[in-house]
Amino acid sequence: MAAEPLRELSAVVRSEWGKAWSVPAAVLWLGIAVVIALVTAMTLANDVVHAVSTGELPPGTRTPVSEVLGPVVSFAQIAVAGFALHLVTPEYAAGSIGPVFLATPRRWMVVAAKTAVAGAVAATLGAVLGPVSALLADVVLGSHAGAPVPVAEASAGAAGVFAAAALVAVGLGFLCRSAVGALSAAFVLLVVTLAAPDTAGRWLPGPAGAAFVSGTADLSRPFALAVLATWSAATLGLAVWTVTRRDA
Amino acid sequence: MIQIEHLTKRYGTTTALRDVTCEVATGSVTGLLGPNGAGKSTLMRVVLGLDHATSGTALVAGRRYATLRRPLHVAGAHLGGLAVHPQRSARQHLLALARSNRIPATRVDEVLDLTGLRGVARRRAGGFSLGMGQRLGLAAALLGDPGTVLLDEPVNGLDTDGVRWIRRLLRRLADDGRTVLISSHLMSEVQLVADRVLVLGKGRLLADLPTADLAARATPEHLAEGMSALESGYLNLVEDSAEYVAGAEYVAGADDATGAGRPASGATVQSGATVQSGVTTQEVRHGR
Repeated sequence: MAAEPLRELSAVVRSEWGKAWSVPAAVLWLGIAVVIALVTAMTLANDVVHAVSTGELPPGTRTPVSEVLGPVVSFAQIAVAGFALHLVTPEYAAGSIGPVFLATPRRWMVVAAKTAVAGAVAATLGAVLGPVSALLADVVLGSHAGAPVPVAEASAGAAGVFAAAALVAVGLGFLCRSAVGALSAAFVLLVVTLAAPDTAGRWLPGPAGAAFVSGTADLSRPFALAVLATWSAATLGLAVWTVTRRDA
Repeated sequence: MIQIEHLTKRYGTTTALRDVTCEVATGSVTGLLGPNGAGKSTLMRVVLGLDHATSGTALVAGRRYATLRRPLHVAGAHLGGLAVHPQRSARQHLLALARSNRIPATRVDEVLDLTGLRGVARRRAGGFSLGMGQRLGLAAALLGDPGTVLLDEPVNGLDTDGVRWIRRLLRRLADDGRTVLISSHLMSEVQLVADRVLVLGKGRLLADLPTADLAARATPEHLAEGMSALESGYLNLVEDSAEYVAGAEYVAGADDATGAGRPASGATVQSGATVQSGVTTQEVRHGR
């Protein structure tokens, strides 16, 4: 019974996957994410080394790599959101959402397919970029490197945060329809919320993402993951609800 | 076959379709006529499930479009404009649509050949002219070899050869036993390709009749001006309706303190200018 909708959905995923890579924006956004991650890792690690050399920090300073990896992932996720949005908002800008909904009138499938593509690419990128960034930070910190981040941990941390950023962005893309609106909303939700006070921050995706990567005392990883999952599900749920009710 | 029953569509306070009931038969080309803002595009969008009906039903091949599986095999449509990511190639655009309906890639190449786009298939669609965009839209509409085809202003932007090609294509589709619905402002085109016409005015269905019967409503004064019989018949039909609707608007407008965007009242009751003026009023008011 469930075979036919599944076949239908996999066809739509294949369609979206091909579309994702058929414009230069895909590689551009992923490239930007890589650059942000590596530059942030290098800069933050170098700041520590520099501060020690100028005497701002004591000579025996040991900075845990996780303290660098947290901001690296938090900043890079906005480019991951950009990648996810390139699957959605240009359809509205170019008017191709019409042909897309004509080909797949079960609109939830279009949202689901774009979510699957964005989530899979984001998680894969995070799984690779997390450990690479951690390694780079470790190398630049040199003798000032504290506890390293195990590869599996760096991988899972960045993969989880990137995937959540992609999912939230897909949802926001369908809700806002405009690239500027959706990217601004994603920036506020994912990055600006990092500045929120702890009491409120624990419920927001920005601080939850940072905690999921670095692991902080007051915000456990399972709790942070639950917060990210809830935001992703809520945004996508609202997107499906809106898209199916709204005129295309 | 397209079956429309008591279809009403409102956008906010604007009523785009009012209780429209009609059928578009298989095996013929049906022209959808009406002034700007009459509801032609809305009718197509609602039939195709892009916009939701406020009330009433629209069925394609006996089912609501939104419930169709692999719908490109049932109905194909092009609603005008270049609805493609400007940086995506024509082939990639069609390939993505084809994949979602499990249509083989060989069919993409077939429709590219059919529409004469093979040579530019790998070029970015952003550089396409209006005519090339039309051809690409047609290629998308024909992708699933559908039994029902809906085209909004299909000859818009096409060169003479393209216009001739599309006439023949529409005729062949109808002769194959398919349902073909085209909207157009060009009476000469409608005269050449359409067997029947549906005429909309201000969201109402004004007429559903054979093309020849509409032409038979021509008046000698129009013909003396050099109009074709179909143009004359059409104008007489929408003129009558517009007078009725414009009168209603005039009364409503009397309460409107600003009177902005309304033509001089004299214009709405004169022949000829009536239709244009009435429509302009609605367009200015509702931005549609």
